[in-house]
Amino acid sequence: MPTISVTMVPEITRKVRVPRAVYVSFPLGHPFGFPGQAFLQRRILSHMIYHAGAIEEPGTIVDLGVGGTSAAECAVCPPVPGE
Amino acid sequence: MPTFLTDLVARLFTWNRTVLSFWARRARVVTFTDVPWVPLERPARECIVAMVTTAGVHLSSDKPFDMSDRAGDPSFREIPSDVSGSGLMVTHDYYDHRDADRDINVVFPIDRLREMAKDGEIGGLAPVFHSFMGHIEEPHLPELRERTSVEVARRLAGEGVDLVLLSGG
Repeated sequence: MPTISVTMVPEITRKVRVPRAVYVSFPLGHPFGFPGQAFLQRRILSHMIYHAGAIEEPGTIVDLGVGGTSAAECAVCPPVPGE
Repeated sequence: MPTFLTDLVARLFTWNRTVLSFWARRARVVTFTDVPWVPLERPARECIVAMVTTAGVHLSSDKPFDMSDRAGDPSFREIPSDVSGSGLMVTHDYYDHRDADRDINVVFPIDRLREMAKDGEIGGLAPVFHSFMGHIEEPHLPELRERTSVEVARRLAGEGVDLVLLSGG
């Protein structure tokens, strides 16, 4: 069945050769951001679901361009394509 | 409860990107010669979605993952998709999960997925999600590769899941 991963460590994800993934540069243990950030958590999920259908090349890892080491640093939620 | 050294290493790997990248480039992990590609056959709004995590999430009432074995624990836990995130917890000594302890949706956004299903962004949720604890080394890799991961895949297929979201800790 189709799968898509969210990774914080693309170096490992490339070695394991997952079918498709999105990359967020949050710290380990924070694939969906920081506590209380319901909008960001849902936005990352929306990106995963969008890219599950949009990625055509096996092994592709899409950089969502979102990250930071604290809730204060993460101020930008990238729009999901087509919104 | 992790040892002082284990906790220190977990926090270092979590919060220092340079250390994490240095380790990741050199880490020896299970590799594959091909990519298990299956195309997504239907639009997201029609998909039954499941989540699988390696972040060590489990029901607070469930047996924790075994942290006493330094080679890890290849077992999995079932998490009903209608459970509130407040009923879940993390057992995992190898990353700093203090933020996940405050809000489980940081590693396992079960509340957000329920909202997305309610709003029609996805077709629905599988009745059960699954969780592993991602620190697994020899001699437990055969058990993971040949039994527990296979069992989870079998269960997901049996539930008519269209798309599986994978995340780690």
